Amino acid sequence: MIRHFLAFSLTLMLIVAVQAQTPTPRSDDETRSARIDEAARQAWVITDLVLENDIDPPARQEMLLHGLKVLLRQKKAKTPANLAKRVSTVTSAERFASVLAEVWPNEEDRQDAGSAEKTEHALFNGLLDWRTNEKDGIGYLSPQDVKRQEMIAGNRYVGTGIQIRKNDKEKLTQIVVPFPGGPARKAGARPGDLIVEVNGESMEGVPLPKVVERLQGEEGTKVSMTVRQPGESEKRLLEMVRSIIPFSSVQGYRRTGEESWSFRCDRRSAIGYLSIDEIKVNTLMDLRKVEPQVRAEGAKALVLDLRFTMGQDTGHAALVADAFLDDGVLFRVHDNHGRTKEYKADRDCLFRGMPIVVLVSEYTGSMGAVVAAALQDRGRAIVVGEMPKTEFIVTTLVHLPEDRGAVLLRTGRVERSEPAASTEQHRVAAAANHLWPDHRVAIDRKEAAAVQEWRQQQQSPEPKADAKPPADPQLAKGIDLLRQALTKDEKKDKQ
Amino acid sequence: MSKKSTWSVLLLAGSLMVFGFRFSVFGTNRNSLPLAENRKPKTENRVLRQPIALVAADEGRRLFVANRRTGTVSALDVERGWVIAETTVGRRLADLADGGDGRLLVVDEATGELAVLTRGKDSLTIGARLRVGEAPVSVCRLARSRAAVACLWPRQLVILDLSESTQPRIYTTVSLPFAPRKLLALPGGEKIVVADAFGGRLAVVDVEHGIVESVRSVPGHNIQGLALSADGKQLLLTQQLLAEDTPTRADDIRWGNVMTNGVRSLSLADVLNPKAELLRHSRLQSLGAFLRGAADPSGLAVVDDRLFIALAGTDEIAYEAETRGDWPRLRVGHRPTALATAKHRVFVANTFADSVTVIDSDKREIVTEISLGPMPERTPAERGELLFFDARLSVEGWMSCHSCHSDGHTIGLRSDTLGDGSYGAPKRVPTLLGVADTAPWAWNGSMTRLEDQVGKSIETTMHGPRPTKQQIADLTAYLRTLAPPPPRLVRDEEAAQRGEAVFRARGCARCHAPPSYTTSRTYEVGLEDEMGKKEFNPPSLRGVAQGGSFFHDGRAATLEDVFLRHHHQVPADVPRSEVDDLLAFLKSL
Repeated sequence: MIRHFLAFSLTLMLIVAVQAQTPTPRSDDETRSARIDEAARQAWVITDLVLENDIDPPARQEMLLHGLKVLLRQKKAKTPANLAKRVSTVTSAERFASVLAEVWPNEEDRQDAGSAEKTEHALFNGLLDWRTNEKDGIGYLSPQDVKRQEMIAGNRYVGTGIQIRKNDKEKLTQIVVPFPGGPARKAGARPGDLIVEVNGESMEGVPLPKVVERLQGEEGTKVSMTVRQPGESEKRLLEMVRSIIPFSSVQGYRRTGEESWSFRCDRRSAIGYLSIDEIKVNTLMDLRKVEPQVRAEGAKALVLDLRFTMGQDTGHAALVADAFLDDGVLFRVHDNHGRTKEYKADRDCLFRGMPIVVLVSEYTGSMGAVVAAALQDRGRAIVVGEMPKTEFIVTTLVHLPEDRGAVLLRTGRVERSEPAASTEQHRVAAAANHLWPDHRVAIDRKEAAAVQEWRQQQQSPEPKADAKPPADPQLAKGIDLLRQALTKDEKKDKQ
Repeated sequence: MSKKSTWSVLLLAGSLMVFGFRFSVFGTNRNSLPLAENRKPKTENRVLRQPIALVAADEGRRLFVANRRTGTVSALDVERGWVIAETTVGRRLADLADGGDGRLLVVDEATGELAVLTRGKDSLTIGARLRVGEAPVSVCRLARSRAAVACLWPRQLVILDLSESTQPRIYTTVSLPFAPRKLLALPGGEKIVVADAFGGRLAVVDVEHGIVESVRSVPGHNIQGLALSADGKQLLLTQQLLAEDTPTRADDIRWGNVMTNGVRSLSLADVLNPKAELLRHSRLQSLGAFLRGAADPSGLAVVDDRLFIALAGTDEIAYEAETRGDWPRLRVGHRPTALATAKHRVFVANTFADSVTVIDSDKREIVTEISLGPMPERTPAERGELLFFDARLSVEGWMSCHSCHSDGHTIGLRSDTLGDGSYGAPKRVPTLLGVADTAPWAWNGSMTRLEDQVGKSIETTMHGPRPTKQQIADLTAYLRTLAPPPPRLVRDEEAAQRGEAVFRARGCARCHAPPSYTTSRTYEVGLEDEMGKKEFNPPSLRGVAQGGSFFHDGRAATLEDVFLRHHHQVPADVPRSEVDDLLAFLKSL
């Protein structure tokens, strides 16, 4: 999950918020040793945080060893045979500093290792990468990363609102998507536009990060772009003001306009469809906004697609689960300090009276699984698909003192309120902290890719109007179950 | 009529600003005002009026406005756009209603009186007055010459008989399990809906028999407006909803996760059926949008199937758009609270602007804003009052102080703020009535200056722009003017006296020491929050019986539960009679 999370951050960073890197002055011996002492102290603080907050922390020495190994790898040096033994005797930040000094890159290594800052970040990430093979890993975020992450988490990116990539053939940066509601799109940017100039300065041959640097800036400031479509000579000057571009976390089935969706996924019956790409700060507001639209389309039942749902915050997962439930305990979170937080549903809910099928897959993230489990446990939804690989683990960004960045730690376990025990498999899965679908429906790799592509197409503000949805056995099963539920309801009404 | 008698009436009535009008005087306890004049009156008296209720008459050509601060009723000529008369009716008016037959009903929070005003052909006469009880906060006309008055702190609904034109009388008094504020007479006039002034309870009262038919609650608080939908099938109410477990982080507030400002519809059939699940067909629509909070929804009006809602915290009127779920807004004066409607018009009382905004309901445009008179320079406490109700203190207009400390009191819910040093252990919102005498502040008693507590709440809970020193000083000055809530009515003086002895004997006063019934230290009394904190600063017990919940996390829903269920410093084997005496004493504080 951390990988996905960081990858996401990086993409957005490129879109809107690359921070200018301040050049680090070349260090002489004195500043080198001061730097090492500082890095050792910081490393100690990080390991303290892990030991204090992580639900299953390794020994401190194990973390320190990992950090050192990363530095050695970076300067392509072999790990000294006695390193593990030496680290095992380290009991203070000062003693760690002396070990670190031997491994810290010197001037000759500089070429490979990069700036001192990069070395520090590599060390800090190394301290935390003892679980790289697991999905819910942990990681270090620099102060800049934290700022960016907060902007992403708060869904308030400031920028021109474009996704860009390099176009090697034209030696120019190309706009993949100008996001709906964003300044670039409002100024007339179109998908595929090549960025010829930014503020009158030619962008030919300028590397992507530099282009991003020119495009980014504070909210309310002006920027202009000269663009042209590939193969065309006509240039257009686009003038815009950088602003906040909120992204919706909830999607319908088929996009019908820049900011409108059709939520019907089945022509023959009144079944609505919603998917959530990430459970985050704005998901509740997004759900509240689409509910009247889903109802206006005549939906009497709902497919909630959580097959690719990311997310981190249990509080937000609780708000989303609560949005579909009007009673009962949603789940409990147990932290490393023996504290328990119980989340309950209030008596309000959206989509009241609609039968719901939740789709899950092996890609469903932990918060998606938590929501699906809450709906399954309260009998609100039938869960269809494949068992998510994720466990019910809470990850939290824990800040280092003095704004020195933050570390993403596994700070808690989610306990389901009353795990549904309808089958032996449900029981086994629940005991292992997993979610077992009520109807297990597999989807092969090719089909899954087609579904993903369909969703991505629909996320684009200008999807092909005549595109046909792909075969989707999980969705088909969901629709089938909901049709049956609706027919049953109708019969009941007639009686 | 001579000039001399005009002045004598002015003196008698204490009228504020009536110049050059004819008066017809019927007696010493009555005065009257001319309603039709061609000349715009002079409005020279600089005074804060605070309009809080409106009644439109003559198809919207005439408007009557009750002013809280001056205790006056202003009569407006809407077409000409000015005040034609203003007269003193009482000291602190709380509500105004159409009484039928050309009468207006006014309640006075300070004197506990109802006044009946009669509109003659060209005059407004104060007719009868009647003492109805402590703190009458709203009045509503019922069928068969009846009216209902909600008395806030005594928790009573007083039903009046107005059939005798000269002297109204109390028909019956109904006790309620909560402090009431908003009232709505239901079609047929036999039943009335009474809403909780602070929390989310709703009662349906059978007027004829004086019976509370049902008391149920909706999730939420601050019900500041009640209305029926155009088809008469839905009960609509403006309210707020606080997510108690959501940390009050800036991003959560700006995405509406902490405070929902909304309008709820309930099926009227379910409201009327005491056995129905009230929320079965309920829908809560959120009025806020990204970057645009809609704090403190208040008065609401239905015109031609379209809903208009006053957003008191953001100085706007929101109205239903053609696209469902969209709520465009019109900017009006400072703190719009009450709405009235007539023929293509919506009238808005701007409580802090001393004005009325007139809106064309067909075009959804502002027609004009009518001033009720010039305002003086405000004192620090008066400036603080403006801030207390202003959502600009919060991030993007999602909440004001009042959103949780309803009219200075408590909504009885918890909120997960940094007031106790960390997120994760939501704390009960304390009342601010009488707050000046309860140092130190915060549940952990960490704040020794009220100014610091005010500043911290604005910065870490509301997340608005950093408040200036002046703003904090003004807000604190306002808080210092708030008196503790009055005691609940104590029927048994003797029991209260015995209870005081119990209070002393049990050592309650060690932590809750009179006269403020609190102390400055923190104590461990067998309570623990989710973050493991065990020491809390004892809350003041003055007006304690008016609280909506008890303990740091609101775990006790009633004062009785504090002892009977949670055995707070009173062992389980203490005789029930002793506990009852203690309760009687606490209710007398």
